[in-house]
This record gives sequence, C-alpha cells and structure tokens, in this order.
Amino acid sequence: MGKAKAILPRNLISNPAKMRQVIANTLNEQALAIKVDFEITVASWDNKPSFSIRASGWQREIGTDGDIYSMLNAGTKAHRINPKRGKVLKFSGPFSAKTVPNQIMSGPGSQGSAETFSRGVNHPGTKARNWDKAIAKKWRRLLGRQFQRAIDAAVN
Amino acid sequence: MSIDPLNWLIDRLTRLIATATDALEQSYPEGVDAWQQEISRELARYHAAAMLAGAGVDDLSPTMRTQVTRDLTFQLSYLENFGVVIKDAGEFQAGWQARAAMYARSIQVPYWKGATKLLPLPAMPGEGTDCLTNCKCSWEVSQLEGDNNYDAYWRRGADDSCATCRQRELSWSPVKIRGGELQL
Repeated sequence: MGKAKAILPRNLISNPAKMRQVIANTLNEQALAIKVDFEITVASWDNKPSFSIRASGWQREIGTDGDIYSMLNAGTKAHRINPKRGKVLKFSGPFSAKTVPNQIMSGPGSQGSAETFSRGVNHPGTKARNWDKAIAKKWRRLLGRQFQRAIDAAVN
Repeated sequence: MSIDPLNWLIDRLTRLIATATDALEQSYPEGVDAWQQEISRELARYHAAAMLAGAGVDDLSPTMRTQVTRDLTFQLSYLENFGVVIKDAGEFQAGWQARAAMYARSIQVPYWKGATKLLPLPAMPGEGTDCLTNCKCSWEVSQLEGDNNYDAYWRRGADDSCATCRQRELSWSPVKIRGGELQL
C-alpha cells in the first residue's frame, strides 16, 4: 500500500463543495493517467482493445472490452492444443511477443515466417503480463502528487 | 531574440551540477557530503526559480511554495539514494556525470505547474513518463469562456518521445476542465 502526505489548508476542510471537487479531481487525474498507461501496452497491436473509465461515486474503474488482453494480463496455464479442423496444426515461428511481464510497454514482436506442421502441441502457457499490477504500483506512488495538485487547484 | 526560460534555467543548472561533479571527481572519495549539499542547494534555488518563471510572477504564493517544497523533497530523496551509491562505490564512475545532470531537468515539473496555473491535470511532463526528467513535452492550456473552464493539450517537444508521451499526446488532446473539475 502506498503512503502519501498531502498538505491540506484549513479553509478547505470547512468547505465541503471544494473538498468534493478535490477528491473528484484526484480520482479523475489518476484514472486518466492509468488509462493512458493501459493504452501504451497495446500501442503496437493490430487489433487494439479499447479502454474506458467508469465513474461511480468515489470509485473509478478502468476496464477493457478485450478478452485477449484480459487473458494475457492474467496469464494461462500449460495446455494442449489440438487441431480443430483437419488433422494438423499449422503455425509459424519463431515467435517473438510484443509484450513482456510487468512492463508497461508494447514492442514490434514477430510471428516468424517459418511454417511448422504438427498433430498437436503442448503449449507451455503464457506468463501473466500483470499490467494491472504494474500500472497500479506506478500510480500509487504518484497519487500524493496528484492529490496535492487537486488541492492546490481548489485553493488557487 | 526570445529566450526559452525553462531551457535557459536547465542549461545553467546543468553547468552548475557538472562543475560540482567535476570537483567531486577530483576529491573522491572525499567530498560526497559537500557535493550533495551543493546540489541540494542549487536544486532548491532552481525549483523556486522554475515555478516563478512558469507562472510569470515575481513572488511565490503560499500554494506555490508548498508545491515547490513537495517537488524538491521528491528529488532530494533520489539525490540521497544517489549519494549512498557514490559513497559505496569505491571509485568514481564515468556515468555519474550523466546521472547527476538529470537532476537539472527535474525543474521542469515546477515550471509546468506554474505555467499551467496549478490546474488539476492528470500528470506533468516528466511525471510518470519513461523519459523521466529528459521529457521535452509541455501542456498548452486554453482558457475558455465561463468560470474555471480550460482545455489542456499535451504537446510533444521531441521527435523521439517515449511511448508514454506519444500516447499522452493521442489521449490528452485535450483534457477538459469544466467549472474547475477534470472531466473523464
């Protein structure tokens, strides 16, 4: 859990409307910054999922419509892949991923161009990218600055 | 000829830090505490100067002073860690000059806070970016009709901006503040 020390002027504490604005602005600052970081992780994707912010009271939820994104974020266990149509799998390699675990980035990656045929493969699983955790950790550290900026904006 | 006040301040502070770090190289392993004090002093002066230059005022308001103190505290905690690394190293490292020079660019944070009139913007240039203090981005703020209505555009100042800055340019063009409240 991150710690932040904010300097709160007395005249702000006694003004509920201003305090409400400070808290809303802090939450909105953080939500907008986090959404950008999620968008960075798919910047090089061909089929980018979209991200949205849902505001509900004093909560901001940043979500995505991308099932593949959610799967990569959480990772997968080792599993068997068998051909669905026909009798063989066809895939290309060597594969190079666009993303790596715990990094807020998205690189070029590569599918590879050498074709391989198989009657089935044991997929080793996909390491969790943990984007949600990496982004949360980053912005938890910077929350104090955002809170202070919202306070200063309210009293300025 | 017009002078860009932020880059002028950064250039001057970069030279001061380079001079102090050259002196440290000569006296190393002695002189680390004195070097740290010297850099701290200059960072304090230039953080205040950057806020003044950004806001275009002659005196810091109490709010501005609070902001400057916070930003400075943040940088001084990094400097303290750097001081420990230097003390523990045993011999002077060539890369320390470049690392020390990065502190000069940290004054862009108070500068942009001054320039953006302390608006509730999601992040300042150099804040939460991969390029850290090398960030050359800026906020362009348009005041709109009405009370506390602004549109703020993230502008990139370099062709080779980091991924964070490129995405911010796409996503924050503009961010909207209406009635003093940042809009989602």
